[in-house]
Amino acid sequence: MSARLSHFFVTIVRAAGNRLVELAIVMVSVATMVFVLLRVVPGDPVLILGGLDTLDRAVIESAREQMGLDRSMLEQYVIWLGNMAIGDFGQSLRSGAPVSQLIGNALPPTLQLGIMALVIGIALSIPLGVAAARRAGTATDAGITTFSIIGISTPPFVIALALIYLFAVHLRLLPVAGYVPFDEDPLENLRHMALPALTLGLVTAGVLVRIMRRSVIDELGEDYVRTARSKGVAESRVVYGHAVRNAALPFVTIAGIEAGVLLSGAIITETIFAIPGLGRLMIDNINQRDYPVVQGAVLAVAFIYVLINAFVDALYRVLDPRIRTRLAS
Amino acid sequence: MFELDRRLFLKGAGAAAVTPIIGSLATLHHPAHAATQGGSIVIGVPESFGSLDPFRRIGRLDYNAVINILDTLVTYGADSIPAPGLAESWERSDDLTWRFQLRPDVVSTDGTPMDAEAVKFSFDKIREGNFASQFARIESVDVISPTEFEIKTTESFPTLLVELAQQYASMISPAAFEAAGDGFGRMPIGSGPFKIDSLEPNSELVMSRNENWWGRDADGNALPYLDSVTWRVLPDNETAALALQTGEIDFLYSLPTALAPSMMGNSDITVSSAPTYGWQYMFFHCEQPPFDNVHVRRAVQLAIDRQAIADAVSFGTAIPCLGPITPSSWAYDADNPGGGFVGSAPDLDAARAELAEAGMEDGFAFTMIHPTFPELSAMAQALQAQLAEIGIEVTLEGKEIGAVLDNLFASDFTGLLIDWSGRIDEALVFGSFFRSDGGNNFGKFADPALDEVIDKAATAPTIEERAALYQEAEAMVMQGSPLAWVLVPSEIKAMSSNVTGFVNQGDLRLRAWTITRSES
Repeated sequence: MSARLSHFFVTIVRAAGNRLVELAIVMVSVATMVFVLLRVVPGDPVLILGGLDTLDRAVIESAREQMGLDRSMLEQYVIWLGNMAIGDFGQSLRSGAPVSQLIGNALPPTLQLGIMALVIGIALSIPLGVAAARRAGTATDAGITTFSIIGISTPPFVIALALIYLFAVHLRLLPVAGYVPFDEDPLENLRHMALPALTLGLVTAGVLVRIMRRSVIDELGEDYVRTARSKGVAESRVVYGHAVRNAALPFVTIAGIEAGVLLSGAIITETIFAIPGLGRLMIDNINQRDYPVVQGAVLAVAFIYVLINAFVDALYRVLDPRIRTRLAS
Repeated sequence: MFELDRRLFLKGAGAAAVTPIIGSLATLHHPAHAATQGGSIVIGVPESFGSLDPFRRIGRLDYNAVINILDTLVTYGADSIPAPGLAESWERSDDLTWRFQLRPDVVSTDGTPMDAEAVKFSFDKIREGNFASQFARIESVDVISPTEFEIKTTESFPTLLVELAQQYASMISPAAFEAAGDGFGRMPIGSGPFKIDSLEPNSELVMSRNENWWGRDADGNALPYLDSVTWRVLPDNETAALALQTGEIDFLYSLPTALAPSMMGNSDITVSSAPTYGWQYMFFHCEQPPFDNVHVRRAVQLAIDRQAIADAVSFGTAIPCLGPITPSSWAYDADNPGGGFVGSAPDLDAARAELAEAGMEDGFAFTMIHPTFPELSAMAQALQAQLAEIGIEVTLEGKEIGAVLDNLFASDFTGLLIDWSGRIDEALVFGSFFRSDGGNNFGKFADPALDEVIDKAATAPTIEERAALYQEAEAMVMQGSPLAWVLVPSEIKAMSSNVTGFVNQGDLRLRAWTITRSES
């Protein structure tokens, strides 16, 4: 027993070690790619800042020097990587603010929005997906599938504007846009987050309903379901206790991908609703060519993706004993 | 409601059809709701804040915040003539020496005296900043007494006062600057109308009234009227407009032209529009064919139907641009704008004659680069159609603004359509765009005779003489046609109808200290 246990821990530690090495490789690759890509794209941060207001060459050169852009690309790259190794993500070219602070401020709204949207998406998609699967081919199924298709194919900005017109302009129940930190005023925070979370939640639900429906239909055709039914197990237990449980694997995979999309900053939704999250931080600074901020933000997103993937992997093991055993043996 | 703040009336369509037009002077000197003290407003702004360090190259929104927090020695009023700011008066004792008297007893919001020592300190920082080159002619700044100082220049510096009115010549609290170090751009402190309370660059800037500010309105009441001003970042134009309608914000920092007509029809909202000092225009590359031939450049200028573009592209908010001196400028010649070279309507016969002179009766082809902003894209297409009338075949190359600026700065284009915010003093326009060594002369236009007139105009002693010389220079510029002017865009802001007192000077600066707000 103890030998098996220690073997198990060794496996876990080795898996974790492999993960860390993978993480390092992913991060360095992403860092290098984003650094190079940003500089290949046309556009000069100094020129874009202030546009044509002052293009006096002396002013431009002075600003360029202050931003460290007069150095060679290789030099900038080495300095940046070196600083990152000691935890310094650099400063915004535009404002001089530390990148780590900008990302730190942008994370809470994005995480909150992502989690709220995910909860809405999952809460809607499980009952709807199961209902559609159980009544496959009926009008209920058609209705739910239509909802799903609309959710998937309507651009978020259309959903957002429709929700704003309804809830903010017409009914005057919720604010049009803006953000209040949760620790400042929880109620106002939720009022401001409701519409953006619903927007993203509907899109997410659209995707997840389809997955849930398809998987449950597949599972309901399996032999074990027939066996269970023939043993006289209650139908709701057959569906929720067996079919849905087994349908969870593909569902969790797709939900994980969706979570990655949501938690890495929903650029359009954050822009429309003026939420100062990661997506807004990225798009603003891509437009401004504020290299260090974009680099930092992209790395943060990559990191979130890696974390979510690891989390989904762990979840597999909980959901499917076969994966757990395969790993331990 | 439609309110017009300048002496000009809008020639565009729509404007005349919309409700009452309030004259400019009434707005300027007698706020409609006799100076309501107190209250606060929320201004919706379209982008996040960067640095508020006045001595850095910063964005337009950033310096709009700065001018509400920091004072300059010189200001300019609606007539665009230099007026007292922190400096109460000045005299030029000789060509190279200027002596300034400061307002007595002004203190920064941190309690530091805004005296001649603070001014000298600020100058040191200006000359270490990105805009040092603008003040390269300053030899020394000498403190004479706490309220008096002298600026010595190495050579004549006739535009000194104009430069001192720019946000990059802001006066700051030395103590606050020393204490903040690199962080001054996040918490700038000086003696301006408002003091900064908090800055969350991606969501909100809050400033509150500086109760000790020296500014007074025409009746002697202390400015600013408002207790606090919140600048809230709302990056999406549509949402920002909706937020104004629901009352979540009270003031829209910039109203996109496409949304202007619907706003003008809303009785709860006041739209303020004023022609800017800027242009929407096309650069010619004057050293490369086909535009190395002046006749070809003139032909393009003459073939443009400016009024048609104003009506179609700007929804009647902009006016035809007939030359570099815009109607807002003190140098504008209303009787003969642009020396009469072009009009609002095209002159296709004259354009064909110029083409014939260049030996291109059958026209020619060229590529026009333009930014993919909706308005400029539409303008590029209109120009393409209009130039086709005289056989000029235009290929459009729409690009993201960053890429366009790369082309521009490298003088890598044949024709390039762009816009410009303008400058309040013609010296900064002509010297930059049309002098052969000018900073914005990206089309490499050169006319030595014009250079001489530009230099004379910059140094002429009185505003009348300067205006006459700039008109002479303008006529020469139009003959040389280094650019093709299309429209003078307007600065359009929208506000809730209980917000009054905003003075739209068309210089893209939001001065919050004259704004009042009545509850209702």
